[in-house]
Amino acid sequence: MTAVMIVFGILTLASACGVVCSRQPVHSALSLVATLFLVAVHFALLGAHFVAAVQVLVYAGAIMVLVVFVIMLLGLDANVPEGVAGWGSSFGALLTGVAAVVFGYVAISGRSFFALKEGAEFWAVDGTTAGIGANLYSNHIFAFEVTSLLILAGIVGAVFLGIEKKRPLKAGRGLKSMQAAQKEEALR
Amino acid sequence: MDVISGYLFLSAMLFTIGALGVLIRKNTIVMFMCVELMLNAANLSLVVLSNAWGTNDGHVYVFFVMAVAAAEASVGLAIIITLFRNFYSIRSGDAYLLQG
Repeated sequence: MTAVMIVFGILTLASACGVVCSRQPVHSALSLVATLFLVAVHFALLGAHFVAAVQVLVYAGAIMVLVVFVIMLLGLDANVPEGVAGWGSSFGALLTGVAAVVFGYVAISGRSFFALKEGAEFWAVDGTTAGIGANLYSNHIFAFEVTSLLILAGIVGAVFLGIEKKRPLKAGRGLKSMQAAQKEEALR
Repeated sequence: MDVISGYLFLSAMLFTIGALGVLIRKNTIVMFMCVELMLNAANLSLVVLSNAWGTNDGHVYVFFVMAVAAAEASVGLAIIITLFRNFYSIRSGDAYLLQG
């Protein structure tokens, strides 16, 4: 464990806490971008060069653009309170605390349990694009093809959900009726 | 603490922070981002364990997880927009009716 890894690990955890604790969704999104870049740094430190590059391209490049775009599109008012934390949130926090202890214990003691070694082969794994490609297109070719089907299903689902329904919503609900009510209010 | 234990611990803590966010936040966009955080934690442990076994199979799995995350982002954000269109709110507690 080098000093670089420890410093970047602490930074990663801090920015991850920023995702959860920020009041405004945009601040959460920026913290998440920082976290994704820091995880990419960890991938690069571990020798997973291809994964690090794809992490920056796909996560920080594509997915976060979508998230920020949706935040912009919805124009969320940050002043709207999220509501008082009820007993459900307290129970969730308690549950997560227990999970943190269990996961941390398993992570620290699990290495000897599974007899994992950190020898020369740990750093000799071929994480370059050539190595990943050779493995992906020989041993995992069926999963790769199924992935294209998954992406297609995702596209079709997103388009289907994005179609504006012609059917009117029930009175008093939905964006249109809300806007109509606001217009009536303004006219009065 | 060696590299494997350290990174497994980091991955566990990242996953826990993401789970905490999903459980205590009510903003669906923030909940979505916390799910991404949990996926990243799983990716990190996949890479570390793959290195520990001396193969790059785990790196390939991370590639698949990222493909799933991309599909999830497209559908999930479309669901959030539909939610906002129908309820004029993206708080998870505001959508409590199953009827259309």
